[in-house]
Amino acid sequence: MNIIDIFTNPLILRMFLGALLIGVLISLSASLLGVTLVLKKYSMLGDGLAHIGFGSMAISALTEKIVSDKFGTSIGEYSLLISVPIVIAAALFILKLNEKSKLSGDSAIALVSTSALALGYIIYRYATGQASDVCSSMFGSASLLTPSSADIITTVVLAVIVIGIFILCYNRIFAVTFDETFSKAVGINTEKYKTVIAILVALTIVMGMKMLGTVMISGLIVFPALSAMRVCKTFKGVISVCAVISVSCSALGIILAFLIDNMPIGPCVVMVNLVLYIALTLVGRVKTGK
Amino acid sequence: MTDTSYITCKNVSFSYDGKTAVSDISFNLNKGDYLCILGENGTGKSTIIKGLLGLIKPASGEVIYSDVKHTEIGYLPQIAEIPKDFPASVYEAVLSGRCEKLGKSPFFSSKDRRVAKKNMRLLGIEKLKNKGFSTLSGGQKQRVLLARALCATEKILLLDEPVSGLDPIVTAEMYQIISELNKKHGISIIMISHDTKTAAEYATHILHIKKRPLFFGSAEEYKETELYHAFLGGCGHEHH
Repeated sequence: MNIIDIFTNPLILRMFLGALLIGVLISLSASLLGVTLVLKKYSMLGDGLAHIGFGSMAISALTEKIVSDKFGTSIGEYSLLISVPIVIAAALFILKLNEKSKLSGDSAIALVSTSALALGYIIYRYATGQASDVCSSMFGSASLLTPSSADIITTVVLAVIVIGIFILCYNRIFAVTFDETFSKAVGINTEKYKTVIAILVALTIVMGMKMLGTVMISGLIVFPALSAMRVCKTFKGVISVCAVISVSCSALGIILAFLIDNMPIGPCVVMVNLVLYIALTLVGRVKTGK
Repeated sequence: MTDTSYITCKNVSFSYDGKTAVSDISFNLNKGDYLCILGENGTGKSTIIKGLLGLIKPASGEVIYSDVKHTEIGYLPQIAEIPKDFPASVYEAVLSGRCEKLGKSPFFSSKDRRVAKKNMRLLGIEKLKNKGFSTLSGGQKQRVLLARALCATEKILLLDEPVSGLDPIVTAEMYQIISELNKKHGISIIMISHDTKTAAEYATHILHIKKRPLFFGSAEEYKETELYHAFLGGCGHEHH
């Protein structure tokens, strides 16, 4: 696949643009949430939920098996939507675990995510009798993505929801992230906003699972935020720069994955993000003369 | 109960982590009062703050608010509570104090922005408007958080050890500002403090506690008590 193919072959062009659109929407959503999660020291939430996402894909596979065995039809491409309630439930459960029990944030996540991974793989093997698809659920498509209309529609709808709700809750999310006690004192329902954030993260994970893989999607949430924080000292600045970095790195990653044979999209995007993070850190060191 | 009483506590007890932290506290805060809450570490001062802010419910007794809601108290937390290196400009931090006034709206109004700017001017930090909060000195950070607290209230400020960790000159400035807010702008003050001597100088009323109330009354009365003299005298004795 080279650059000429993209512009001369309409089928490939469509594939490429579809992947680019999905990539941009996912990275935009992920970047907004990444800043909040990193600042609240909940970076691993994305990772934990991604493992739940894997478990939910296993349940989708099982449902597919049951539906086709019993009814002879397929649940089709909307199987991704089975993941939405499962991942949201997991997000809320992790939040509750963190609050009610003695488990700290990272332990709660470790508990839930490893269990999901284990149970998910067991269900997967039962449902499909093979181990092969597991790799692509974790790391995204190893070959070029062929985003279907269903994929695009689902992603657009989820992105509009995530980005829209984030913008509406922006001021309160800032207040709760900056100083939770003060926010509670002035009457902000901090539990509600933490729940909103957890749900938005869940939706973002579901959005990105198929193309980028469950293991890689959390990198997309965390890396751009870390890079942006090296550069900006205001919240609005960090969010804006984070969005720009995230979208650019994803676009670049997708382009590279198209041009280089056998390059998986998810890991490629994560590596582009990593290179940028290292570059910004070095630039920062040079600037401060370290 | 007079018409100008903002907060009245009647035999209030608060628990924390299942244990009674303070019990049987009674006091009231009238409009224009400057109340200092004194007591050593671990005597329950932070618990009272949480109670006044509505963050915890009384285990017994009652807290009565009149003419003011508990969400309309401008809270200045101890400086250590803000995460280090948090990316926020001074303006963003101060403006977040207006969240109480948002109601159903997701966005701040032009009035909110005006009030934020006014409070920054009042505290002499408008030049710092776009600077990163984490890059400021301790004294500057306190002014920012005080401006934020003012954005949340026109009536009562609740200050938790506002001068701890600040150098003497900045400390004096802080006391000056707080006194001005009280005398010139008519804002009632509740201040938690370690500094008994300065407290007695600036405050109109003192509440001294040690899990239970030891004294509540005017600052004048307090200066007559054994408690005050013991506290002052104790500073000398501690060096043995």
